[in-house]
Amino acid sequence: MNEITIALGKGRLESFTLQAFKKLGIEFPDFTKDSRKLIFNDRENIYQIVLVKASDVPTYVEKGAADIGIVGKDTLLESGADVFEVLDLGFGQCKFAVAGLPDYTYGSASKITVASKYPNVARNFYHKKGMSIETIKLNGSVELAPLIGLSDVIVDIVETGTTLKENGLVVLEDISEISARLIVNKASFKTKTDRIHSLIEEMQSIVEREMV
Amino acid sequence: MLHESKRIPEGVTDLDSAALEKKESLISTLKQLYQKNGYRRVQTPIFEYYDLFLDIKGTIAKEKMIKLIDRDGKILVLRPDATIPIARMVATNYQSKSSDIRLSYFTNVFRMNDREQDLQNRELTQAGIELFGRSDVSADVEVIKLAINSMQELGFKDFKIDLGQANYFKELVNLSTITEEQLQEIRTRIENKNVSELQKILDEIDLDTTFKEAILSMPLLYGTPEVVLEKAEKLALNDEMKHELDRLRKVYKKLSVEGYQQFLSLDLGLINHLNYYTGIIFQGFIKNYGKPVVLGGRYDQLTRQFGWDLPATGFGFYLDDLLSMMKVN
Repeated sequence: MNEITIALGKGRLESFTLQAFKKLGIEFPDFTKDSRKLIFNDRENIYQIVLVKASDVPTYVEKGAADIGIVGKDTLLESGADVFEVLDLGFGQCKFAVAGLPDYTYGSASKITVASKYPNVARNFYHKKGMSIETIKLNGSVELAPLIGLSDVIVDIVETGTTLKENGLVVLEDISEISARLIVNKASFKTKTDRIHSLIEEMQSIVEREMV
Repeated sequence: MLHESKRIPEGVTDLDSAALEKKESLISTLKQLYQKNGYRRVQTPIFEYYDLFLDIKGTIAKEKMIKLIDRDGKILVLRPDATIPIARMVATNYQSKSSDIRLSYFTNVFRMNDREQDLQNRELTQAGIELFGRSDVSADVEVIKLAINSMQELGFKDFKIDLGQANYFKELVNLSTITEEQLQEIRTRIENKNVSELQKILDEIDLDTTFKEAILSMPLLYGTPEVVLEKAEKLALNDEMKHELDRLRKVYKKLSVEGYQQFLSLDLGLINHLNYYTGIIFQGFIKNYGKPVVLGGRYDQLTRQFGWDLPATGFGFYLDDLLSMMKVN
């Protein structure tokens, strides 16, 4: 087992990841959108892609089931995975923010309730501010929560702000920037050194070229 | 019915005879090796006072310790780490000894797994050695050599011992005006080789550019030892930093001369496993296994906290990881 295994998250970053590897001359001929297969090899059988749910990419890489992966910083932050985060690929830029009703201000007395798909991110943000919160984990339509009194505020990804606006919410505070990251398993980084280091370098030069 | 009488809790496991015999044969290989090298076995209690681990700077996180309440209301914890109790034992019981103290242990440690994704056991078997009373380079060499020999004795061929130097970064921080809060942010970015975010953090703090440059280089100080050492030398800001690097160079050279070069790599960005480490630190990886199987290094200030100032270095292997790796091979 000497190949490099890449964890590919389905969805937003799927085609971006495949394109990034294509630019490095690494292609997966069997890979099609409709295929039900979950493992694909490249032409030279040096690389192997495993297709996983995007939010599982950090887990696969942390545990060494995959050597590398491309993942959104949002997913990475929420997972808390212990991996090397070697490159900011600059793709898919957006931000984490606290949003709520326009007239909302943090009260002094009671604990605030935060609804989010990312309870860990929410907790870390408020704990750093020295505030105690209650979190409610939701899996979608998070904007609804403050509208119907389920929570005081939400912590969510904000791209354009359109969804917030249409639901009468505003960004109250920015939390952090988000973009796609190249992550590497710490042991793979140390043991498959040559292959992985050159892959990182090549990918870095692509990122730099495209930024210019 | 949840059948709790039939199930066992998450993170612990039964071993059948075959599995136990395998584990014991591995233990006996290491026992012989450590004994041959003059390390004598010791044992510490399975639970001790919570305060022992709490009072020591940079030990296991509070929430990772498994706690019990004693009759008198004092909090006890199941042994979360092997080294701290041994350091306590040596500092309180061995003071009459004048020469070096070489000890080995085969023991279970207990840790809470706090995240859903932590497959990690809550009961882990560790094997390791501790060498007290020696601060010279040859002690570091002896310990690292024994870690490499352990891997070899167990039949592993494709592995790497990654060397770092905890004091190089500590010195750098001491010289600068970084606050504790900033340090935490910086530390995790270095640890995760996250150069882009490290850059952003440094952009926002008021700090001399020579420091910024040195800190920004930390995550990239890995790879071919000669090259890394040369780069790090140029970034060293005072004699202490140079001195710490020089130690690392000496250890690397000595190990190379003895034929261990192929197993060694260098990473000065390796700064954050257990903060009690003070000098040369290392971790070992086996190819195709996703996490380190051995952690070790120098911890010269640990016994001071128990009232006896004694330089020390050592390592601990995660035996369960070695076992599951042997299954694969």
